[in-house]
Amino acid sequence: MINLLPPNLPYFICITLLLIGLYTMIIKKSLIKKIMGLNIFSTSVFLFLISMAYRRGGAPPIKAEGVELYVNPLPHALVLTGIVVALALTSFALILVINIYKEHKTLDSEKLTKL
Amino acid sequence: MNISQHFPILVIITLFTGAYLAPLAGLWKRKLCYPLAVLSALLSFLFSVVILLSVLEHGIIRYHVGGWEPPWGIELLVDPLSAFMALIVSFIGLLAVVYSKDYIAGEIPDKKLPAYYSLLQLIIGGMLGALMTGDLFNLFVMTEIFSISAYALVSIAQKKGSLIASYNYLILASVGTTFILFSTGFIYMVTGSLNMVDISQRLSALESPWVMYNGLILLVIGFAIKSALFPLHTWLPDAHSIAPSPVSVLLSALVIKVGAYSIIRSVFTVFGPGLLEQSGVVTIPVTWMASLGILLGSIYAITQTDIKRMLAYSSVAHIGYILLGIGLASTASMTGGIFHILNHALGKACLFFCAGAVLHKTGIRNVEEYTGLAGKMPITMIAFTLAAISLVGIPPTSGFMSKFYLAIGAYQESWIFLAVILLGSLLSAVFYFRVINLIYFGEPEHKSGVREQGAEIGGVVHRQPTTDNRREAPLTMLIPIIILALGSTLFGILVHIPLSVVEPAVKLLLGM
Amino acid sequence: MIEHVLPVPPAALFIVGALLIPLLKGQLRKIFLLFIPIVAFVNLLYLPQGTYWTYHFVGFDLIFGRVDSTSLPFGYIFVIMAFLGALYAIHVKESSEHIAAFILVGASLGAVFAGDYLSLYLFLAIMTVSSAFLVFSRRRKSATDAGFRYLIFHFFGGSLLLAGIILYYISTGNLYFGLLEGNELYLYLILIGFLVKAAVPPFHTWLTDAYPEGTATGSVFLSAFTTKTGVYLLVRAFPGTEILIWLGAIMAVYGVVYAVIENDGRKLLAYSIISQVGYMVAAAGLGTQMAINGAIAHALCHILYKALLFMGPGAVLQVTGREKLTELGGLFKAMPVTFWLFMVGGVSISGVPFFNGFVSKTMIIASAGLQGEAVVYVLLLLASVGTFLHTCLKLPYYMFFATDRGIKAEEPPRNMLMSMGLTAFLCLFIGIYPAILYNILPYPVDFVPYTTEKVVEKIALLSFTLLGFWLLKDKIAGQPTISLDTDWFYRKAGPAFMWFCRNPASVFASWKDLAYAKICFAFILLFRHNSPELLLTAEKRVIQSRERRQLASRQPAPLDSLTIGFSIFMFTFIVALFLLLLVFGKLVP
Repeated sequence: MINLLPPNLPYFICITLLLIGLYTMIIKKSLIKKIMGLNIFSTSVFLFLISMAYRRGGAPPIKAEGVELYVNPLPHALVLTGIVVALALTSFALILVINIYKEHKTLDSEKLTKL
Repeated sequence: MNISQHFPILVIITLFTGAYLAPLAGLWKRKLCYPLAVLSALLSFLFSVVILLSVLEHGIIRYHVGGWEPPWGIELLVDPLSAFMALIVSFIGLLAVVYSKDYIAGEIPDKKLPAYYSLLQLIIGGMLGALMTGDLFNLFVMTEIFSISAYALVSIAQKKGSLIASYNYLILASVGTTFILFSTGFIYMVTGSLNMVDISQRLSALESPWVMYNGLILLVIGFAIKSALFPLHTWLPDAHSIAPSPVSVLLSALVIKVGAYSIIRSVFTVFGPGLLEQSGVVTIPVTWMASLGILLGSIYAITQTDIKRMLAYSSVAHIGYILLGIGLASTASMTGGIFHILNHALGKACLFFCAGAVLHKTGIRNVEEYTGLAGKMPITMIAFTLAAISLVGIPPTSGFMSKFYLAIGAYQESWIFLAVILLGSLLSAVFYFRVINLIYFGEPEHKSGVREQGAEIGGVVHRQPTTDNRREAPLTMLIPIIILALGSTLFGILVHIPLSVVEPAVKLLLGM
Repeated sequence: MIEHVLPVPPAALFIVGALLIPLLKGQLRKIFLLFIPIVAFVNLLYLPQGTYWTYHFVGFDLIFGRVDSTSLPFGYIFVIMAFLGALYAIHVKESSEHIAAFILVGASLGAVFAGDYLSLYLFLAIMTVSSAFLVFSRRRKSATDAGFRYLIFHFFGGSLLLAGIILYYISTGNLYFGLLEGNELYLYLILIGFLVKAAVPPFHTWLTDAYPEGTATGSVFLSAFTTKTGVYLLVRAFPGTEILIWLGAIMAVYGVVYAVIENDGRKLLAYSIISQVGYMVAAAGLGTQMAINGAIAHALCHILYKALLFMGPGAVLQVTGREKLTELGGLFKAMPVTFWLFMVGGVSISGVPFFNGFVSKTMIIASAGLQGEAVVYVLLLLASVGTFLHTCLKLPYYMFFATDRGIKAEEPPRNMLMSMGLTAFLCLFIGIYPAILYNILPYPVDFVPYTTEKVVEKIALLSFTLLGFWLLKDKIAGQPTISLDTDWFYRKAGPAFMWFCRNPASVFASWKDLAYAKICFAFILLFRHNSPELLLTAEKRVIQSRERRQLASRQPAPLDSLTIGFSIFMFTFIVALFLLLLVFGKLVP
């Protein structure tokens, strides 16, 4: 099944996600939606890293008998670290948003800018 | 194995350990956090002094963390530039920690103190890590570490608007770091390595640098966002002006410089000057953006009434000088740019410390209210004057020398850049001398004769003065101020000391 | 013993002395203020000629001591002037003013003895800052503004100079400050930098703007140092430059014209400085040995009598608090000593024989005559007449005589009178024994000032002027207005610039509205299209534009609080821009 897809499909998906993320951050006024946009944005980069590491027909990078071709394990490590960082960022941003809402009773970024 | 070989990692580890110990110590006794933080910052400073000396003597240090050889393990790469930067960061970091004691007591609630000191050490440690690492992905991680601590520190005082400033900073800077990660992916895709030296060797063997340029562009823009290169500076004024003063110092004097450093690393170490010569794809736009930043940053600063905001915009202008020097990539301009990192760090840190001292003692933030402060806080104000003069670039302060080198380098490229540098100095003279004039001679006319009465400007009655005339800030705040002011003056005369580090650094970067 | 201690760099003596001033109080400080110039003078006497105090400074050679017969006369007079100025100002309690004045003296000495561009630039920058502080010391709004304009103007000049220095360094590889010849760009940049210092029109407005705003004592210092340093620099670097002759001659007349119509006493004197410096600039331009001698001699004499002249209105200001001529008059009865001392300065500047102005001014005019520059000769003579008219006749007449306005006055403090007396004595002394002046000039002097011909010519000219003044004295009475000079531009430009900076968005919007309205009007006019709607729209736009402008001037609408969305859009845009550059530029191999 997976072999039917064009090989560079992941890259297209990645670019699409990237643009969706940017669009969300630019257009949406809600602070929470901006965080979502940021998450989509960083996910697209993770997808890029993962798809980069993929080799057609490669096995998971666990050493096993008789397997010659592995997918590249290093990007996975990068992505894991990246996800951790993104998680930290997201949680901190959400805490900020909660506090902003407590203080200003709004999450509309345009209203907040005028303060 | 000798302990001295481990100094590069010790510089970083000390602070990270301190960052973990601070909350633990806070559980037991909150008072312990401060001495702990000072101790770890001091140790880290001493280690970086030793490293700088040994780099100058023995050349580049390559340290393999955990004994893993690159390209598998993480490598710390300490060359003169990173040792120089590390010294600046750890020194000003130390001063900021020292300064925090009395300042921060009035700004944040007591129960947040452990968190504050922990974050403070984390941000300095993160910066030092970013400076010393020789691994592109590790650079990203360290950047994230100090960035997240910075977001937290901006909002720690919970003042009006600080949460929004922190949020803005977070979102915008995270876009930057995501760009960095993206480009790390590109570079890994092309070269299959993350080690900087390794990458540069592999890149020079490559035929088509198309993807590589993509990576470079994203990398430089990511770091340009971090270093607030105009017009990517939009997060800076809010974050830098709202943060507590020691944090403003760290952000304005150090964090954006680490961004600039990372640009130098990615352009000159990762890609190498040889590859760039045939392209100019990054350096030319960067120089133009930097020139715009010098002019517009200064113009914005002129219009500000809040002193910290004014200083923040001035930082936008000065990061322009630094990146202009780097973008022009000639020996003189690079020397000027890197030397200016030191001068701006000293000067701007001193100015933010002074602004903080004034804020702490009198509650004054508005420039117009600085009238006659010279009588009340003479030492602080003399320091302010010296630092401001250095940033304007008047001899014999250190700011002049770096601008002189920059100007020489700029003219070798084009007269436009020379004009930009001189005009930028002129504009910065406008806003700094406005403040200096108010400090020493500012007296509303109708107040004639009676100097210490409450002044009334623009219909606002200000605080009544207290009986004691001289109200200098406490010693923990005054000493960093004095040291920095002396530094920014003396390095104008003893230029050979910083230049003895900068020159080898530049030679190494330009591959000469 | 004394040979072991001395000599030290004169600049260091004053600058270190200035930093010690705040530590001293009362009587001790007064002694200290007078002591420093005396030590400096002795020091100068022991200063051997030659080039020394050279330092290697990160690849540049700094020369702090180039003592030769060109720089030494300036050194002498600066130190003497420092003594006189300190004596005049000794009663002032503010230490900031003394510090600024001493640093100004020190920096001027440093600039005069500097042998390379880097240290020259250093001292010129210090001079700028310290002079501005002297103006700020007046502590009132107009003085602050004037000081600020002074600062910016000189930083501007300094920037051009620095640009010139950098170009010079790049093309020659050294920073030695000496004779400049050729047709390079750096030459012009450096020349403009020096012309700003020497207040040559159109770069002169800082002088007439700032000097009258200084304190009574500060202006005495101001008048002596900056322009004369400029003259020294021109003499050193550009002797014999054709354009300077004309600039100088025009300057001499220009200053006189404005001085004649000026109302503020010290502003009149400021214009008269421009006129007098014009002589020196012209002499530097002539460039013959005699002309150079004349330029330096005139600079020395000028410092003395101009200080004396500034001391007079300074004393009046000190006593009465008034500056405008239309507000003064009839002070002779109360201040006779001040008047007579002032008159010594007046006749000196007019070049009356047996006063120092005569011995130097005739030298310049004669050398112009010898060069065959007839027009210059006439212009300079004319300026000399004008000088007599405004400084020696008009100013004292309206200040000390004319209408008695019943101002309560008395003689100024004793130290001021002593200082004035001493200066007046020096003016006379040099006038009678010109040899003492001629001996320190760089070239041997074979010029005899007191020939019957010259004396008679001078006296005849002055007598006619006196007669003219007596007949026309009501016509040239100062008007209580500000005469329009080129400084109008930047006086207005400053606030306009600030206003523009504050809110570019509103400004552009207002311009846009105005432009739209103009187009509508144009449309109506061109096509005779009398549509009432169009007219209405245009008028509405005009009103809207005006409102916007008012709004802009009142509240700073922060442009900088951009939304996150916009910032991210900017980031994306920049990335796209870079990528486009990569694709379309010549960058792709």
